[in-house]
Amino acid sequence: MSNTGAFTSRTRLYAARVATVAMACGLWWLGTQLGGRNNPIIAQFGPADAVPAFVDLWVDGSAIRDAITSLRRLGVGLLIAVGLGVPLGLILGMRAGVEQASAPVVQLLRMISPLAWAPAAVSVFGIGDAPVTFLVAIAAIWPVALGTAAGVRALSPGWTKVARSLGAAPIEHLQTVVLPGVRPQILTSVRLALGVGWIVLVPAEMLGVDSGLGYAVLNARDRLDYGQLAATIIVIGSIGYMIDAIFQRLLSPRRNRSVR
Amino acid sequence: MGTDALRLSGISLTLGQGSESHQVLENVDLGVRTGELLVILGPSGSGKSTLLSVMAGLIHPDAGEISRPEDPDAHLPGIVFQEPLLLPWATVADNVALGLRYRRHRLRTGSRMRAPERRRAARALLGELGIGHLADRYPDQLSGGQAQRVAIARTIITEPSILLMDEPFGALDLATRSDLQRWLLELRAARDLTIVFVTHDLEEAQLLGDRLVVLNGPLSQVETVERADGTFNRTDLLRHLTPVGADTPSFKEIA
Ligand SMILES: Nc1ncnc2c1ncn2[C@@H]1O[C@H](COP(=O)(O)OP(=O)(O)O)[C@@H](O)[C@H]1O
Ligand SMILES: [Mg+2]
Repeated sequence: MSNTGAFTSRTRLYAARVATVAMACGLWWLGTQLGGRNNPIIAQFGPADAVPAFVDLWVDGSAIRDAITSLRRLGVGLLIAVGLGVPLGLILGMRAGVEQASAPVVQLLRMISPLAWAPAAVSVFGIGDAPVTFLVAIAAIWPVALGTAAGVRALSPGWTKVARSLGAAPIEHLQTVVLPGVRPQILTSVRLALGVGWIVLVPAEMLGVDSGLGYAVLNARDRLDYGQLAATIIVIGSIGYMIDAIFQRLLSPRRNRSVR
Repeated sequence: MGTDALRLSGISLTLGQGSESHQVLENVDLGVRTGELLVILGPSGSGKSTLLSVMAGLIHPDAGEISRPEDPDAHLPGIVFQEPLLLPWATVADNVALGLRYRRHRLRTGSRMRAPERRRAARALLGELGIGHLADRYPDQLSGGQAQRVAIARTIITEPSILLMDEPFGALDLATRSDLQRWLLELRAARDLTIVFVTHDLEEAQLLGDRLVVLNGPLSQVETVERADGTFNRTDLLRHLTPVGADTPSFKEIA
């Protein structure tokens, strides 16, 4: 019984989602029709131009090429953010003194829009992948570090007492209690960082690179191809949605079967 | 009557800072004899947990000396707390095996055990303790009594010189508690354990103890009561449990 119940509620959910997407497309079409009456640019922004433009992008392979380039930069930036952010978060979470002492610096850095670093990034790293990756990393590092630190602070102090009483070396305490204990918070904060990184990536790719989805946006504008611009925007949103959904699937509850 | 497994002499300790500071232990002298089950009895806030933490080496006293005449440095007491404090992401077997991978056990045994070997040892011990069927469960699948048995197994697998227990059955219902009390006495006989057992329950103290130490807060005067003719003199115990006056000496041993 409960199976069929779950089935119908799932079916209804999917039906509702399809309906919402259709409605959004309808509004998109309607909006560009109405707005396009006295502004031809807006008219080209509608689905009538976007859909063929998307087919073109798909057929000539540039959609895939730009997406792969962007995802590669996102991936490298995130790896850097995790590689630096997790250890930073562990230190901030385990040493209250360090956290309090560094609060002014951390909070100030955290509040700087990553794009404010763009000119500095270009002048230090030149043009190409490096400054883009840097901007993604600097955007993603704060969610990772602060999420990890909050996770460490939420650990039961009792577990630490147990590890100490059993004679754990500090590194063994880290391996057996802290890391497995904060693993869920680290994964959650990486998911958050993934979203932030993706959002920063597109404007970052408008600076000194000639590939990627951000560049594709500028390119479409420069060629006055507004259908392609709209298609690119949809691609950006879809990929962001997909990678977030995949990551969420990866981190949905599953037992960590062993103490490593 | 036997040698001392552990001796505290002149232990003093003040906890907290400034106006919050609080002298918890004052000049405590106490010996734990090898093979005995010593019960520390005292009201809440009298410093029982603090005293156990000092014995376990988790807190260093401000003054005084702790000596373990029989044991090498790496052979230390193990402690069981009122809550089981099992790691929720690990199975019972992995929780019990935890201490086997830690530095103290490596130093004491001079060998490094691999993960499968540690897990085998944990399973063997769980079987020996009559809880082998729990090995593959997770802590959230255990009752309170089962979880506390697992916590005790986790401590004794490393073969500590003394088993320190801080109100280990205090959070359990009556039936489970008497079940675990019986289980503990069997465990002690089977493995020849030296145990220091903290409680604020007079019945539990009388049932389990070979010898009682009464901690009378707030300055933790220590009084020791011996079991005579197989029982404790109840009037004697009650007298020791009543709050002490200003003229009471800070240390008194009743033979
Ligand atoms: N970190 C601390 N700072 C200040 N006082 C403390 C601290 N820990 C414990 N105390 C005080 O020391 C006394 C003894 O505590 P405890 O050893 O936990 O007693 P018991 O286990 O007998 O209930 C209590 O009065 C408690 O308030
Ligand atoms: Mg206590």
